[in-house]
Amino acid sequence: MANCVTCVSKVYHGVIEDVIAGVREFFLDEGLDEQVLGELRQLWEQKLQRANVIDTSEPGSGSSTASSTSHHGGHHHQQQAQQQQQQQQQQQQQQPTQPAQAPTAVVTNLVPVQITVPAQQAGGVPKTITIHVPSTALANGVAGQQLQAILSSPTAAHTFALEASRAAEIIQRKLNQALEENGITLPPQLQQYNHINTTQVDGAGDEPISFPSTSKAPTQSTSNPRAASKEPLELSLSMDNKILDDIVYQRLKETQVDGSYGTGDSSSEISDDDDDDDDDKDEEDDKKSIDGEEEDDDADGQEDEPLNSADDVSEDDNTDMFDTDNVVVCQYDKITRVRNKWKFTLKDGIMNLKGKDYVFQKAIGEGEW
Amino acid sequence: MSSYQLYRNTTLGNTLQETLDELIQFQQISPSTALRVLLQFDRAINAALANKVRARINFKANKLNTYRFCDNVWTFLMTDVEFKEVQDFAQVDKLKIVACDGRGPGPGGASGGTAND
Repeated sequence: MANCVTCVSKVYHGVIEDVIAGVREFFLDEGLDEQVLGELRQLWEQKLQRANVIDTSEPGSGSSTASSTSHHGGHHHQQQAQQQQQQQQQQQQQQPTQPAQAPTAVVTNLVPVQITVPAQQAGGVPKTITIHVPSTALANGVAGQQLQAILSSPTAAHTFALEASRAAEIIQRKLNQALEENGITLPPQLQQYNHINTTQVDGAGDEPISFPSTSKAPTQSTSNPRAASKEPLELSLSMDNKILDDIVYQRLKETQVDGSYGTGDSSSEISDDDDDDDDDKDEEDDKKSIDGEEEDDDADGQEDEPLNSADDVSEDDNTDMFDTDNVVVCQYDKITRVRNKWKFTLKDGIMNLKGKDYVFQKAIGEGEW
Repeated sequence: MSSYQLYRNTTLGNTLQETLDELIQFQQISPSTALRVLLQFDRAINAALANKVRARINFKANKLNTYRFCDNVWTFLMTDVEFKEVQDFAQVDKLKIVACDGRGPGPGGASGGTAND
């Protein structure tokens, strides 16, 4: 059922345009850059295409706006032309605004990025290369793109074969160059890498211990899935959210009892005590429950469990049934029933059938209960 | 001026929410901004469906398994449903319909239930 597949795509892109236009003002009021709006739109359209529910043969937003202009014409065309012009202007303004933002960013939020290189030879050891990226560069995706380019270049393989610290320097230097080319001012901590300096000095803003960083698995792949997935050498790119680190570190420092980094020890002591208490309680409970069970078993034999389990009316059927892929989300005009014959009059609906999206203005149906 | 949040659990709505979540994670927008965007999405999708769509569909369900009417929201579970448009048709084994009142949201708006119970 085609349901005018291009109509669906048109409607969706129309909605995207509406939303973006509608929030543009709000974004500007909030002080958010036009670039963020552009990124929102881009990510949204990318995901939509990946979801593959629209059968578009048109690659991306550029040509889709072209095709929709041919359909709509007039008002919409003007809107889109204006938006494209604005986007171009914003991109040109982007570089001048970056240095303006740099002074505030020089309070140096440096995010340590760990690149894990799998063992190059059989029996080798995977090594971790750590470089530092300004969090602003990370946030607007520039660092991610540059890093991706650096890591997928042909010389990258040679770099990985070197020792970890040497490789880190080289990659750091390349990243610095790339960031500078993109108009991002480097904080002083990173600028030292531009001089050939063998001693590596951590920036002031970094947590020297990288306290929870190595154990923070959740932030690993979620923060930069695109870069990691496109990496041909199958590196794993892990990024620690420095601000989260700060919060955790502050909280742990407050609860710290002894030593400079003894939080691990003190927390384990506390947990040991808790475990002991819990174990004692569990043993008592177990004894009681065992006594109870023994009595029950003696009295009723083994009929308790089957009886109890049969008490459950099959609520499971509903939960299984609810887990369908085919969903229609709509509004109802009229729902009628005669005995067990139901009639539905629906409107303004979006359907997802077998993975494909359809929309309708009106839908009439019937079913027997 | 509130619209149904019903359409947030669709492909379009879910992709938008994922995108907003990613931006929040990168700290590019605040959660309240994301909420505003979603509210704008609600308005836009409701308007688009009301004005821009013209398709009419008929369907027939072999069996209506479950019906539920709660908080002015109908939820139906059906099996073996056949959809017909002008010349095409499609058929699915299991179908779930979530429908809000077509006369408009009541006082305080409506979230239209969840399609993922």
